[in-house]
Amino acid sequence: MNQISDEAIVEGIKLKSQYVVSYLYEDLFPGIVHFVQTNSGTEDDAQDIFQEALIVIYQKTTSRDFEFTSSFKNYFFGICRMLWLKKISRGNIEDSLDNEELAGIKELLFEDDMMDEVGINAHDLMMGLYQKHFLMLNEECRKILKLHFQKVPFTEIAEIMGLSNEKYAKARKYMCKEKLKQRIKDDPQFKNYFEYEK
Amino acid sequence: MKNDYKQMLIDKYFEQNLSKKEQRQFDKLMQEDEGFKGDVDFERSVREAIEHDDLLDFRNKISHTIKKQNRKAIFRQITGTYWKYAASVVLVLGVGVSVLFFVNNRNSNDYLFKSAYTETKQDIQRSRISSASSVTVAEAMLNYHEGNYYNAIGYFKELLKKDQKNIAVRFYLGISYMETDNFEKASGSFRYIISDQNNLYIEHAEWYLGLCFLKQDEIDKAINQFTIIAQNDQNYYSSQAEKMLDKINRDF
Repeated sequence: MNQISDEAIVEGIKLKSQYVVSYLYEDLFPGIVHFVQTNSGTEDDAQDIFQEALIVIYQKTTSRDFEFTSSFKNYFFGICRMLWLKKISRGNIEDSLDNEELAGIKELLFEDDMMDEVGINAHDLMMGLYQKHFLMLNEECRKILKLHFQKVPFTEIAEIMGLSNEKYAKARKYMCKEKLKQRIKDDPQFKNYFEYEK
Repeated sequence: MKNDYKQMLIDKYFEQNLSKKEQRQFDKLMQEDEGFKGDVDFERSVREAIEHDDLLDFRNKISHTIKKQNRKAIFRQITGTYWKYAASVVLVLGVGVSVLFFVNNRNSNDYLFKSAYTETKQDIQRSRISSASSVTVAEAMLNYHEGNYYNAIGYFKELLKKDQKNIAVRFYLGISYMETDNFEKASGSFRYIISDQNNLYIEHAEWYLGLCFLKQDEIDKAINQFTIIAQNDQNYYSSQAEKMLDKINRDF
């Protein structure tokens, strides 16, 4: 695999480069899977963590004071580790761990000075959850909700979406919003983040 | 109070369009109806979450990339060597362009692939000036593959700013222009390659230049170009150029 410098990786993330995402996935994902799986998670969990870590870094790159003291690889692993520990320390998985495992994980989380450096909070995680489920809606629902939230009148939404009338556009919007709400509320992480944010 | 009415209140609240009476009802519901308050909070959060188009866009990209990675094939090639991937793209494009012109060009695509690969392997040695530029090469190739030729053109032009004499980039840029029906600019790229005189893309560039003339209805120039190719027995496209001349004479 061709090596990419840390600077180029950060630049690539800033540009939302699919190549860099692929590169990181090939290079770092196996390590993340290993970590998550050895801490009661699955490969799907690891994929979520990988995605969230990239989003966190992307958001950080947009701020002027973005910097990391170690190598990018260490920085990325640090964020993934923290995200996962945070997830399981609040989640249902906690119930399945014995006291010793839980204590070990909490200790890891507690000692992790990355938390302050990166500054991830429950609100960001919650927003991530909303975005994830929004993207899982069908295209029509995404479009209707977007237009509605952009304050486009329903008559116009009906026209844009090829719906028969304003009333039907409203009904579709309501249905899409309910679908989204249900998806989010059904996500096991929702309750955890929601309570954490309170 | 009916749910429809509550929903209308929520919509109007976010549109900042509540009348005084509706505002009072809204405030009352927020205090007394936990379900209503939950709906308002939920909508506020959703609005906040999805107003960030850049994040949604990036999430989408990451998801697609993960899916692709899981399907494996393509990205293995990319991480092996960018230009190997590029060469395979040329092969694909070659097929596309050939189909476009109703020419059975299967062997030439194989040849194109082999020669492009040989050449571009050398190019990548020179191109590895910095990792940052490699990112751009990869982006161009990905956009090629996705059929986003306009984006690919942007990346190739960026690469040319760094290395104007990169013949491989000129060639792929030319093909990209063809795919976006910009035959005039494509001709410019191929002419540059031909005038360079010292590269392995000349024969391909001559052939594609002829096709560009044809697409632009510059029949005399096309005939001239294919004649040059046909007259050179050593030119790989020689026999194809002869067939093309026959077709042109028959059809025009």
